[in-house]
Amino acid sequence: MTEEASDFDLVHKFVGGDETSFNKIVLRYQQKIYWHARRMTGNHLDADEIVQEVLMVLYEKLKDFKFQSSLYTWIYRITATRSINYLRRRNLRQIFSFEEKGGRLIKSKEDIVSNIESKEKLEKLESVLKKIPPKQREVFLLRNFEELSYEEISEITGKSVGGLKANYFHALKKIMELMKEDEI
Amino acid sequence: MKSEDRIILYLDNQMNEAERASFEKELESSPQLKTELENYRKFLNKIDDAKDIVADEEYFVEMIPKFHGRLQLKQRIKFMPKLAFGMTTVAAVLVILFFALNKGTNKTVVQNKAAVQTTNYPGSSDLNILSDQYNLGALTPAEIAYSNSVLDSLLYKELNLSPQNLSDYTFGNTQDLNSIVQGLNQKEADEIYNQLLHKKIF
Repeated sequence: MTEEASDFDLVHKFVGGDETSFNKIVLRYQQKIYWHARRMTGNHLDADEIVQEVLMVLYEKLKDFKFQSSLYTWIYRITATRSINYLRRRNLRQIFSFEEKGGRLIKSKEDIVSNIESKEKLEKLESVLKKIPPKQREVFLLRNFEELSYEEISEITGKSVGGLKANYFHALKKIMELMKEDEI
Repeated sequence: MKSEDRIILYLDNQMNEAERASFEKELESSPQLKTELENYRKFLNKIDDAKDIVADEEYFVEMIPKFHGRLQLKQRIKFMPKLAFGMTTVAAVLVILFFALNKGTNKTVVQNKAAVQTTNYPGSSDLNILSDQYNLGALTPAEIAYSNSVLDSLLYKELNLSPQNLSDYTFGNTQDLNSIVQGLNQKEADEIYNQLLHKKIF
């Protein structure tokens, strides 16, 4: 049985009333959802909120899912959209001074990364990612971390392949500049 | 095209075969371009390092129970509109009952008012207006006596008199003012009060 067939099976079982199938779907994709949200927002609390939003959407909309794309693509589409929308809301809150710029200040105990080496790597990445526009960041993450093709990213984001290539180009260029500056 | 732009296109596999072959040939002859490419690779490897982050597994274990907790809460909140509808209906019934009962009371007041105002004569309209405005029909005898005393005091004040010195004033027919006031019938007294009310209140 292929992974997609398994997804198909789990979705059908869930639609048929089997709640545990939903849990199995979540277990399969929770890491991907979390890490995309985490890299997009740059902190754990925001990522956790997005994860919960995404799971809620999955739970409510899964019965309408017709497998016109793979479940994986569909989940990424929801995660990517929710992350961008969350960042928009966060920017608005920052404009009206409800929140510190750059997201919430979180205590280390609120983070799920406690290993010092991992923490350093992640902080370095997040400090670079937050300096590039969300749309470019999104493409960079999907291309670089999820290793998706432009066609797959296009299916997720609804953007043209040409536009995505341009976004990735600018994102990578900016990241390289920032990393060079960091080296100096 | 700048060399850094070509490097990005090369690393992202965005060059066609001819462009790629040309770029690789240039790399062999240009140590500077080669160093630049290596630097880019080094940076990309650093980014790739962030793929292997060690995270607290407990968070992922708790993710599903946390979601189900939220889901239950949401479902309970979803139920709230029904509760709100029920409460609104009860409130509406209570309001209707209140007005229905109050309407019955008003009828009694109107009846009382009709009993008090047995006469209707020119000039009595202002008293009726005042009566309507202040629900005079619902007054107790003590309250009516009090309002009469207030009207009396208005009359005395208007005439710059006091009950004590009323007898000091005499008129041509030798009647003093006290006896004139006492001699007024209800209709005459009401007309005077109406004029006073017009002047002082309306």
